[in-house]
Amino acid sequence: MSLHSIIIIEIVCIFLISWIINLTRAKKLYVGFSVIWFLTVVGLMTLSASPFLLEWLGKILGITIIDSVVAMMCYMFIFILIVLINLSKQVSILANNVTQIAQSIALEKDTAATHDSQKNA
Amino acid sequence: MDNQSKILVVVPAYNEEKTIATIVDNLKQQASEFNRIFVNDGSTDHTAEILHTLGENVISLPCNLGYGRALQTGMLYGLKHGYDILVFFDADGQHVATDIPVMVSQLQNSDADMFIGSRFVDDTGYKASFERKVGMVVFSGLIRIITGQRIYDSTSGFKVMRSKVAKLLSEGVFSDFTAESLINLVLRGIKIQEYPITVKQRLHGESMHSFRSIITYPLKTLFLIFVGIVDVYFNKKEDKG
Repeated sequence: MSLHSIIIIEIVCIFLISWIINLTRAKKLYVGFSVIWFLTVVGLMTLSASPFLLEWLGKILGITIIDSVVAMMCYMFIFILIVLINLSKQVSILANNVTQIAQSIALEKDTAATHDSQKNA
Repeated sequence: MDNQSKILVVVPAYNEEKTIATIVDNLKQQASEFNRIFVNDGSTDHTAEILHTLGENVISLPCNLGYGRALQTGMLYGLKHGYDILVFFDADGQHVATDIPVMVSQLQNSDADMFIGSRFVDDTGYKASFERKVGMVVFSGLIRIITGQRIYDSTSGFKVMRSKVAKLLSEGVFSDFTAESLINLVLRGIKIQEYPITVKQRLHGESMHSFRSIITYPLKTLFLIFVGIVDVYFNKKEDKG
């Protein structure tokens, strides 16, 4: 992979990591998803930055690696990763809403029960 | 001791039908001066029915949200009803109710904001599994490195805290309120101390930490510690701005 491609991939990965951290801070990404995407991005950064590791992986998988194809695959993977993180974000927001609704229902029921017992008294 | 404080004991319970009556009995006998709320975390057994029969205050979550969210619900209840001090007490029978008044008194007579019931600050005879021991040593070391404070028992479920701590915990991004939350609190200026407690073996059932959690728990906690440090850094920057 050319140095140009490696730099672009590394910069995009740094942006992805800060995006994942920011989404977690804002409670918009469930921690379980965050960990998976964080490790995936770190893995991508490591692989793209070390040609030897990539070559070794290629040998294990029986793939003859052509530099330009690897770069193209990395860009495609990053695109898919962005789509997946976005989908996880939507799922996490919905799950968070469900949690809040469940807690509100439970707390409201408790308030209603207290009112009933006060009326009966 | 400040007798004017409103104190609430929060007990999260999930499928604890075999132990819950004993827990209630112990709390009634040994910590009767404190209000208590049981958070039934979507139990599929008779936990809720037993609690209702015993005349206890119960918040029943419509589905199982997990230990952390059950505690958060208890905190929201405590904050909503204006309690000054909240006590976290597990429903598995490992904690001893006589420790509650002692820990509350310790908190009230000190300038600390939170007390953790520790199994390791003194030799209490508690025997932890190997993986749990490794986890505790690692996270205790991490807490020491990041905050400079030594906390021996970062995974204890027995905690006594002032309402301002409960507010921070209920609003933050935490999993089960263990090492990640302690680091975050210390970095925000919360004073945490430990007090030796007695811990018994579980009366029934299994620990919530499964085999899978041996891998997922450290990963999640490490990530949350990292996110927490970033969060505190940016919050301080925003406050200065």
